[in-house]
Amino acid sequence: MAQRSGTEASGAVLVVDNDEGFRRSVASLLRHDGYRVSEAEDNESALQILGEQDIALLVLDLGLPSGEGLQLLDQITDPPPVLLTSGSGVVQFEDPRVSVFLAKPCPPPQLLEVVANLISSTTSSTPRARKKPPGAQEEPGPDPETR
Amino acid sequence: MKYKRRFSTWTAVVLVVVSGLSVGGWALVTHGVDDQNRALLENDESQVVLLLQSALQNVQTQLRTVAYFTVSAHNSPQVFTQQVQALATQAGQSVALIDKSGPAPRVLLSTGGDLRQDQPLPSAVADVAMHAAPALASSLLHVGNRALLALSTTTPVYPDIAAVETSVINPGRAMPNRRGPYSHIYINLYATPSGRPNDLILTTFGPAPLPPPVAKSVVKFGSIRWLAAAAQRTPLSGTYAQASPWIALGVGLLIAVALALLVETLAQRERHAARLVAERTTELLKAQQTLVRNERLAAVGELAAIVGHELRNPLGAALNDLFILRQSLGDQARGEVDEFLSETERQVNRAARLSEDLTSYMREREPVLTDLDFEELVSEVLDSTPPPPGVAVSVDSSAELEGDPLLMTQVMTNVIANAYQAMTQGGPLRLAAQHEDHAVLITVEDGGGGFGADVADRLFDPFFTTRDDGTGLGLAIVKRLVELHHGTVAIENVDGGGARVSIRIPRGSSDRG
Repeated sequence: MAQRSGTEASGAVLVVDNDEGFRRSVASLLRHDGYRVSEAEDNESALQILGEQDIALLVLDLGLPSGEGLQLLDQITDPPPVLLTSGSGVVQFEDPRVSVFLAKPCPPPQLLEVVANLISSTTSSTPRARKKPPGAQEEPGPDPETR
Repeated sequence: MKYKRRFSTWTAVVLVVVSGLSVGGWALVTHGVDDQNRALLENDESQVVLLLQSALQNVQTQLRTVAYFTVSAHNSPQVFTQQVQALATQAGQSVALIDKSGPAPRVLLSTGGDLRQDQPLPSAVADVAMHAAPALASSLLHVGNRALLALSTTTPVYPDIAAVETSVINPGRAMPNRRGPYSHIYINLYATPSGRPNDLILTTFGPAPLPPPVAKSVVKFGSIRWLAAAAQRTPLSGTYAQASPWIALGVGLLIAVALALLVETLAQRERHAARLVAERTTELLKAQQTLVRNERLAAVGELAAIVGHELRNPLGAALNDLFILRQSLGDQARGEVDEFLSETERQVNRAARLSEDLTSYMREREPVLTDLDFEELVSEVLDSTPPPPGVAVSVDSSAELEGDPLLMTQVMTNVIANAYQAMTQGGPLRLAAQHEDHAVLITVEDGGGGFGADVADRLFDPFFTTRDDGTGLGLAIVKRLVELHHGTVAIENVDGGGARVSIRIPRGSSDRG
């Protein structure tokens, strides 16, 4: 059993997906693997959680019909690494804010491996994500994480 | 398809009917013209007969006058000569007054070469003189080698005195009548009503029989019964009337040909139009069938994409949950539990593949072209889709193609996976790519069993599959993605079994430097 020591010392993983079944299963998978996980079913609640919590990784659904998931990224400055998922199969696009793309459904071991890689790269170098609440001021990131 | 006949039935009917009418018209007009000619001829001939009768009347009167005055003057030669002048006007004519009261005829007075006072009468002439009567009589006589026409009469006052006139005739020679009132007809005159050739007195035509039509009538005067026969020298009704049947026939035949041509043209046009309509109808039906089929496929594809998309989330969730379940169970997953869990994982994975295929099929996007090394492309595909046991893959290429890496990877993955599935007994799988004119030809030749001719048309249709576990989308996706590259794909059986997929991807379509 590849139980990881998860993110005790780091931020949580935020799973944003409007499909409740998939969101719940990904959250369960990550929790089972030892991560702290928060869930949001839309951009609004995601922004709220981003403002309240320390988020190390965003697992974000591209969403339909026009990639509204990506709009979330427009509303935050200095976003955490983003694992983008899509129910539209393999899509090709270029967005520097997206670290990895995975098509749904993807094999759970692959998902876990990608998450682990992203978390480790985050904690080793990059500063933390900060939310930009609608109409609110910047909240400077106080604690850059290290592993 | 049966080619058109040479001529239509209607053309033949029109030609025959109108030609028949023309010939009928010709016959009718010819008959009419002949009737007219005959009537004109008969009219002319009756006038000739009247003329002849009048001439004979004249001769009788003059012969009687000669006899009367001469005998009354006691057979005065002067009176005779004076009276005869009106009668014997031509050479070869002779006139005599003959006393027939005795046992033998005796010439009282005469003029001309054939009736001489000092010579005995030829017996034939003597016979005529002895039988002379008041009614004018005629006889055709042969004296020596000459033919004579003798006319004889007596006066009521001196019944014993016969007045006889003879004329030398030459019936074998035609007397041309080129001028005069009856120059337009030929006339033969015979000394008997039967008109035998030997009885010919006079002809303007010659010894040969008259050309038909011939009008005949008997000239009656005194005891004379002659036959006058007439024929036309030129058509009496005129050349135009004579030509009119032929003109009618010619015009009729021309009309027949013209009508036949018209009918034939119309018939051919109609046949042509009918053929065009049939062709267009066939084309339209074909086009309509294609349209309906394409629309059906598009609708199916759209539905497939929606279903595929909608299945992704639940399938992903199920995969994640199964993974957690497997992890949580750990060593407890044994026996039946492990068996059922594995089967569930297998089925969910299968469903996941299907949903992947369904979405791929309808994904529309323009390919992003880059240079792709075929060997590298195939190598990546073989890494992610390794050949099953028994399948020996060979790659023969150094070709570079222009394609979208992601899409071409999927194309090759699908084609190769399809080949694997056909090679249940293993065998060689040959992959090759070579440059052609402005294109790269990729061939994938498997060592499987090939496909039946009945399914050849449908192999690239979505959801068409010959396998129980196939989604029927693999080759349909290949076709779609290749067409997005403006390429073509075809599949054929190869000799010795197996199938070959040929994919042509054009080069030089991109505007990269």
